[in-house]
Amino acid sequence: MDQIVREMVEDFGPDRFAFFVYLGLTGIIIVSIVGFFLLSWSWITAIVLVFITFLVWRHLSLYSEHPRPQTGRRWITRRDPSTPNTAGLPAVYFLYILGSGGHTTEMLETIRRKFAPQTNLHRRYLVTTGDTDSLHRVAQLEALIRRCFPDARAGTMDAFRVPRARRVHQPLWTAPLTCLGTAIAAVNALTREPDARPSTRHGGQFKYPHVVLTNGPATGFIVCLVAHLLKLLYVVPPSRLKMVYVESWARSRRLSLTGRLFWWSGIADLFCVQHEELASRLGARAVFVGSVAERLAPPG
Amino acid sequence: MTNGFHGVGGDSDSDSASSFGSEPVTAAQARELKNKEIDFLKGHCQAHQTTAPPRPPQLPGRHCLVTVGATAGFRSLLEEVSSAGFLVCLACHGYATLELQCGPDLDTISARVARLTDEERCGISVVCFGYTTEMQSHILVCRGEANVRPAGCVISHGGTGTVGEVLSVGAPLIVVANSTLMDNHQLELAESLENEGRAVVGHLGTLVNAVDIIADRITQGTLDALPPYCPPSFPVSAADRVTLFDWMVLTCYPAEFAAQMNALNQAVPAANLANARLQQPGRNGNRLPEAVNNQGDNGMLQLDLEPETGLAAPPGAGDGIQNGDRNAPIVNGNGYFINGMVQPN
Repeated sequence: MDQIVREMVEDFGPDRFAFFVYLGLTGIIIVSIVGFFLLSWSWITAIVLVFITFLVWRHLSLYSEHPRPQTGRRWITRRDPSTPNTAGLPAVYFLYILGSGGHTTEMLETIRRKFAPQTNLHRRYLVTTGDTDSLHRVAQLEALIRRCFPDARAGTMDAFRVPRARRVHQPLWTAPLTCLGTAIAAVNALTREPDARPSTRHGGQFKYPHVVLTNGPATGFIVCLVAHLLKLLYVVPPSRLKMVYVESWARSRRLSLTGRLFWWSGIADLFCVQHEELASRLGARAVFVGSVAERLAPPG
Repeated sequence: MTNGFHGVGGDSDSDSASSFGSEPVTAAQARELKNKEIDFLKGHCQAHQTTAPPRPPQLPGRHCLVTVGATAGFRSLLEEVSSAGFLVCLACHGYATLELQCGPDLDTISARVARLTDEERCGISVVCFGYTTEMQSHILVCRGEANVRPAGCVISHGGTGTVGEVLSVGAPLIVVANSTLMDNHQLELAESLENEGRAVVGHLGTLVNAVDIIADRITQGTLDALPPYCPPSFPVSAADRVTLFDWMVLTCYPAEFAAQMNALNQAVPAANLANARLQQPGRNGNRLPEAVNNQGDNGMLQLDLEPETGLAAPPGAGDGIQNGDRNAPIVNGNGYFINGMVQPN
């Protein structure tokens, strides 16, 4: 079973879409450098200002479409199993970003707590290079799912490797370099269509993940930033790549650094916390969801 | 009352009791001092032994597991638990095995353990290993079960993965925050667990106190005689399943989302319609009929259903509620709203 996961882990593979993205970026950089030398300062300022205004306007328009809980109310995770019913949808595609150690444990526990067998499921896991422990545990979870549901109801899966955004104890000033490496690989991971779900069979329904779920590692923030950028520039339709950030169960009073980044940048469609104290501290935008990452204890 | 025993463990380079005096001590004097410490500790343990939990003779000895996690090391914790003073304390409480999950410090700690004399070990078998993929099985040995084994304890760093796993297995837990990590975030988890009474916070230098507290809890509670462990079922039952993320997927298909929200609206009993406020995301989302929708803002998937059974609202659940008790959300311990139809467990 581990072998299955190892075969599916892909590094930067051949993908026309990501290739065009990089080509476009390189072209823009070249044009910018040429323009910097050829144009007068007033032109450069004007163009840069227009571009920044466009980005800000796009960001605000996306932000206003975020689901937002009403003041004083709390989010509901319904106990009625008939809704929401996603079995009839053409595709249900989740992207899970796995950090190391406790982040992976929490994420896998969340996946276990939310799993329901459906044939339209696809799960993509993002693991960081060198994190064999997370990969092993993902393989265990997938083996468990396949054992319980040997038919097509287990859904399909694949896994991608991205460079780590920040190692433990890595000084923060060196982080931008490593984050750039992560961002470049993230484009591929976000846009590469799963091999198990080609568009010839499913239309374009599985092209982009519906929901990107992350719970704390810096890699998660970088990948979500890239996803947000893709949405800003109209590369990805706004009905995809919904980002959900779940703050760690260990954080009952203060946000983690990644949590603060998500909060202040406002790129997450849903910002969830697992403790009421933290939710009341943050305000209306944070959603208290209870302990979605804690393993249910046996009676006694 | 014994205070920190920094001198007993010493630094990683030498075991000499250098913190007891500034003048150099010979090896013989160091051994003498160390034996005095051990006798002192044994005396302290004797005083405690009258209240120590009795161990049924046919069951194996208690098992102590020390784990530093899979990501960053925690050498200071390992050095303290591999010191003679700590082993004496364990022996007094009926422990027979000490397992050290060392992470990156396996070589150093193995060498340190090998240097312990038999008298210092006090009959406890000390096992070291670096990493494991089967942490669950190691933790399970520390869970006390009736007629199988007495309760041990797990001394863990403050990582959510390990702590969550130990709590779900039901073994007694001592959390030691690793203060070298980013803004000491592990301390927050340790303290909130202690406030809830689910773990004991251990501080470097006074771990013996934490072990004493755990021993007290074992005597006072039923930790020695729990039922056999059964892991949580997969997939989880429909009542415990988290459906939040499925709502997010549904928002990617606005037509289907609207249809399901309407169906939900129809299913709500007519008497509750006035209290249910259903909104949809986006400025151009479909609005509900005026009779139901009385909020103008583009709010979100909020569902406040008045319960049909008379469940009492917990105190303090009323911030932002306009109409008093009738709209008070009913919440169970996990933060879920309860539909009136679901029976509380």
